[in-house]
Amino acid sequence: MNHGLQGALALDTVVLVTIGLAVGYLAKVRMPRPPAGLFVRSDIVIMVALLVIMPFAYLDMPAALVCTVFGLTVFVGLQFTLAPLIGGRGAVAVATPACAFEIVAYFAHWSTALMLVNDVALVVVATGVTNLWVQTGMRPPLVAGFAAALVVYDTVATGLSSVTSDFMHLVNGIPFAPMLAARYTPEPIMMGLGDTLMLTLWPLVAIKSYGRAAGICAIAVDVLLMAAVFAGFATGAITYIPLLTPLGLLIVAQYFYWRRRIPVVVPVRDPLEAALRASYGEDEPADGTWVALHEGKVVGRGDSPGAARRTAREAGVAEVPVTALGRP
Amino acid sequence: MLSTGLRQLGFAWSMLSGRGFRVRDAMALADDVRATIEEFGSAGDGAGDMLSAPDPEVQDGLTRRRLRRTVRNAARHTPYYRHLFERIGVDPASVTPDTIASIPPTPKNALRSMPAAFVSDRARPAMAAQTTGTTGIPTTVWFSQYELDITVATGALALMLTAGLRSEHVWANCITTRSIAQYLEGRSVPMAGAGYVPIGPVDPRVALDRLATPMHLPGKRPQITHLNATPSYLAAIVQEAERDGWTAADFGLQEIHVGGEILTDALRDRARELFNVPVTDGYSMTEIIPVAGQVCAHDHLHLPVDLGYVEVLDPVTLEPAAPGAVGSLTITPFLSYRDTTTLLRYVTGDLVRVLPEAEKLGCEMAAVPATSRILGRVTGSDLTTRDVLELLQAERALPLPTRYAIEETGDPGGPVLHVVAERASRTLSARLEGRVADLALPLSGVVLVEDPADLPTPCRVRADLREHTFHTVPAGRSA
Ligand SMILES: [Zn+2]
Repeated sequence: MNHGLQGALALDTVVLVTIGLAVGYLAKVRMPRPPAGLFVRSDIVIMVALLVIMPFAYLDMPAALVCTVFGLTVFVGLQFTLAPLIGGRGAVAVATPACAFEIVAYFAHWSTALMLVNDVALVVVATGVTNLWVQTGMRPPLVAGFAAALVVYDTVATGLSSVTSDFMHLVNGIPFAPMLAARYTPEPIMMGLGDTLMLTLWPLVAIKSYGRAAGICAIAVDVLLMAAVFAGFATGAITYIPLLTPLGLLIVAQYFYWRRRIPVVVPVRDPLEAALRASYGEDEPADGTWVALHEGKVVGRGDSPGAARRTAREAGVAEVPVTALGRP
Repeated sequence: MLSTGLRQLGFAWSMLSGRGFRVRDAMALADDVRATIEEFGSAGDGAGDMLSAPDPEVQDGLTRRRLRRTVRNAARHTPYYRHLFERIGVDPASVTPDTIASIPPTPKNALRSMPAAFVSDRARPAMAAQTTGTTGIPTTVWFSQYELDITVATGALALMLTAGLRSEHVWANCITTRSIAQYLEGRSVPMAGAGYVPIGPVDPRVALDRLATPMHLPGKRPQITHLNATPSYLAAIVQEAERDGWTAADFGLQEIHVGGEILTDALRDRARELFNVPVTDGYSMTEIIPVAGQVCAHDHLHLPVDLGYVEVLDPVTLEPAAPGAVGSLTITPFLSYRDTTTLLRYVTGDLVRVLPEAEKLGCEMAAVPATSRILGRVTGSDLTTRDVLELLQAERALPLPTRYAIEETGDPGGPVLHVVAERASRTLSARLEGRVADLALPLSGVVLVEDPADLPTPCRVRADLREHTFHTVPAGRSA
């Protein structure tokens, strides 16, 4: 196996580790929530807008500024991901040297060390960001909508234009690059942070909303997709791919599948249903009086609904009965 | 999440700056909080701080600014205060919490006599609320749509974040449908996601029947969970329920909220015993909206500092009451909540005792300043309404709501207490006189009467604001 393929395999492994960590984090860690705050449609709209604008903005910004923006993002991401685990101070104590090291490594030309530390940082950040979204109530339809928007975006930006590859060259080898990398240029092996986030996000949302089976299915789809891409690289059929195009479509497909499989259940009100099915028979209440019904049986009577409810309680019925007026 | 974040910042900014709120944002924020609670079962971290005051030093600066804006606005745009400031020659811009005494307190009668003079020239009056006080002459307070909306939105936030109201709850109101509180709760309770049942002060038997009636609505508890009533109406309900053999198991109540009159320990205990739920005592008044107080577990009345400026003034001299002394609650609602009927140093006439200086607040609401609970009015010999009600409501042979009158006879031992009893008996009056002696109340005697008309002066309670229904409930079984 050549070095390129080893690198690609390593990246796929890192993604699987990220998914594993994120699932574990979801099960064990409660992130602090803002006082009022639910992930809603407008948040997706803003995220998509940022995603579309940002690469263009970065291409026109000095590298130092781009680095600063990414550096802050990584620092904040590390901080809020680790804080619930090791406390706010502990998180700062980890995030600060990690970020400082990336800068030092860049100027010292320790490119392998920079790549490794940045990859680890991105794994942690991706774990935290996806959990933040899911734990603030990001729902499957929103993820599906987001994925659909990304299909369009990635097809255009990566598949049909050079925006993504320009961006990759821009961030290649700089500290805090938002790319998982196994090798930098001249022959880069990288995976965008966006790809990593979406590969991780859908399994989390699927687990939370649709249960374990949907989560396992989502991870299996991720693995098959990465395997197919790997096969494409190995056979030389492709050299790069807008991963979000197939991934987005697969997420949308899974959403529609699970939505149909697991419909929203509106609970029926059993006491009312039972009362409506009941026929009183010989217990036919007199006109103008009230009866209390429990499991279809008359358990109390009275001249008002409250009085009928009370006689039911006195008769030893602990549940709240249904009251009804005697039929004329 | 981003948009609600911005709304939270905007709301916090309005709270801090004392400038007006953006109504739409405040309403949307209430909606965000409700959605957050429905999704996660509770609001996020630090949600309680959204409505509470920052630390005291910051608070002092805020209070100065809010007071200055409120005074300046009243002096410029409110006819009554424009004339007042001209007459007293005080520069409104100079008024701070330290110099507020330069503004003469506003007596109730001034507002009663000419309510329009207190309405800002720049206001857009939208709704009038007539107070339902028992003194006979109502007071009219006009509110703008802005005031109503902002009070509803902050009310919904308080219901969710501090009172723990959830969408599964059903809130019943037995206060008069003419009161502003009924209108405000009719909007803020549904905004909090809960169900709202305006019962009104109907025949207590009808109210009990409705509290017991199963509803079986989707997403709601099967019976009414929250009851809001005045203490005298609660007393009427308690009386009826005790007589008619209702028990806590007949209802689905979780909490009772009362306000508008004095809730005695005796009545609170009887209501708790009967319904087996906590009874929360609050203080509010149409004129001083949004200022409202709450009674803590240590029986203080806590009044937050960020809704209005609160003073306790000696009822006679109108100078600040000393620690340990009795004074009248005097309130200046802040401009950001009140832009229509503006009031400066409004003397409510509701007496409280200033807490002794040595008393350290050790209760759950210690961060909010406190006084004693409302004492009511006071008679010449230092006898408060609360003293009398506490004495009478502890006596279960007396009917509820309690009716009495105080008659000054010139007796050095104090006035005579006339009380309505079902059957005036020598044993009952002896028992009451014994209690008077035990408590060392300044009363020279107790006289029982069987007909309220026999009281030397009529005794009115808010439960008398009875509303009629065609709803017939059979007479109680004991009857
Ligand atoms: Zn207290």
